Amino acid sequence: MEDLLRASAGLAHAAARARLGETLAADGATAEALARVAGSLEKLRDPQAFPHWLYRIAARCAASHTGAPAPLVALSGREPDPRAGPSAAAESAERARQVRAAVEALPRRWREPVYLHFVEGLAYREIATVLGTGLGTVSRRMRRALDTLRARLGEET
Amino acid sequence: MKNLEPELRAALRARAPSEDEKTAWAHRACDVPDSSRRALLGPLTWAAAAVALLAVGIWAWKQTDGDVSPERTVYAGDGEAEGEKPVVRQPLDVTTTDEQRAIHDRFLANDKSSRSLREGKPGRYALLAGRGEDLNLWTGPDPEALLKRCARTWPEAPHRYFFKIGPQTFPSNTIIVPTSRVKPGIGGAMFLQELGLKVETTKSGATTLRLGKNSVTASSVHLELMVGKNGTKHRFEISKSSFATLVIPDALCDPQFEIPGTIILTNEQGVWLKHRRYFLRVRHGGLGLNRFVECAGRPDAVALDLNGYIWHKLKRAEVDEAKDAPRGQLLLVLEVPAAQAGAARMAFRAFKPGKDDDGPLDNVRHVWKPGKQFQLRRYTTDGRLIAQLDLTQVDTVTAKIMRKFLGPGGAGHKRR
Repeated sequence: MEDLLRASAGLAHAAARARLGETLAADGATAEALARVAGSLEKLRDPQAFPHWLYRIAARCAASHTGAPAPLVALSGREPDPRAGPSAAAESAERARQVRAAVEALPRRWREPVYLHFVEGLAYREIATVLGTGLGTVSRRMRRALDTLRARLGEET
Repeated sequence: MKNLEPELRAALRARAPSEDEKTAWAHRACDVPDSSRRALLGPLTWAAAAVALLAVGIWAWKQTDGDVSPERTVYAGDGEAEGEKPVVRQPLDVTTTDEQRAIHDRFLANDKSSRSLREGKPGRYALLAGRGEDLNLWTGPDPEALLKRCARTWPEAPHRYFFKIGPQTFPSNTIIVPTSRVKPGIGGAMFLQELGLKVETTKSGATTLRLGKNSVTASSVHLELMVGKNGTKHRFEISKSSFATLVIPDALCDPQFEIPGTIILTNEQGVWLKHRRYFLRVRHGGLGLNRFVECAGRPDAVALDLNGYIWHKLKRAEVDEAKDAPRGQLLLVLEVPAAQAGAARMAFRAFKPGKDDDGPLDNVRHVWKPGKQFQLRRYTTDGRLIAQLDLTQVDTVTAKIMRKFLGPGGAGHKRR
């Protein structure tokens, strides 16, 4: 059970992150979702439906966190590399922040497959299973998301 | 934008949860008893948390039947490298006659004297409650009696910390339940660390409490309590609004400019909790918007994000001598050498804890003049000092910059 939950944690976090952004609330929603999954796993009849089922639970948990207090924003995500110059590190971090901000500005239905693909490494077909949509839908949303990101990030650079 | 996808992958994965975090979530999800799961998932109010803690404490006390071990194991905080073994400390020694002095030493004076609370008699409980500087500490062998006594004296105590001192009644951990209106983050981490818990901050800024072998990381800080001889676990969720947040002035300085400074952390009532000495190096990023602060020579020690939150790794911090500081939400003292002051540009901004963190500087009294001592203070509208900026000397350039950022001095401004 624990291994299953650990392997699924990224999926749950992606669902929460797509709704709550890079917030501590997303972490909390993930933990809450996994606890719910652990408590009601026996109710799942079709094991094949597990990814979608878990994703839905995580999404509901994230939705219930929307009223939470404003989270602390992480500072740099990674500790600065002492070997790199401060300017390079700053530019890199700033660019990454811009990219993440651009992703968060996407509509949620586009943001979800982006997280699942680029963070969790899921293929489009797997994303379709998780989201409970068709492959064509996922492909279309990804294409639009990437086009939008290219346009936005291209303008900024 | 040819390389969008690798860039996207790297940027998004940088904020993805680590394997340790996933493991902790999974472990916690599996390990929560059904009866506790509901409590974990549901919104646990302060009152419910306090009552639950009291019940657990009383139950655990009865379970032990006075059988206490001779030593108490806690995880030390200050100055320890990550991953070090727990430090076994001697039993705490707080007597009822020393209550006021102990609480003063612990929360209002310097770090050295705060150790006094860590030397004590076996099997005693401490209950800290009160308001502002009127915090009281009660100790005794009976937690229930302590709570009753607290309730008589402070029926609406905004701060109520209940913790076990002395040798372990519980197998390995100490119960600490902060019930005040403070937030997660470094302040809470510092406070909990002060109370003997090993506290870490994760890359995402979440506070990690390490209680014994159990690591807890979440947006809501889950206090994992292990009580009873059989090690029965009880878990409680304490809202993340329960720990103090260290807020830091928004700093903007020139590259390579190092500022020795002191962070003084107080709680919402202005009680001095902690102060730390560090060196800030504020650099201006290449994109014009990016600036960060790091400890001089210790790039991972201090970082400041664009929004003004500071992420301060406690283990690397140096503890300064206590300074005479007024009450306030946060006091930041930056000492700028005169030789470097000409290059300094600072935007100083202090926040109040809480929802109004981003409020404007509503009442700033300041004075600056070339070649003179400089001091900037921020007051609340009712005249209470909540922040202070000290510069050893200010030259003409700096004074101009200060005026640019902060406006000219005006009526009511005081020369130092």
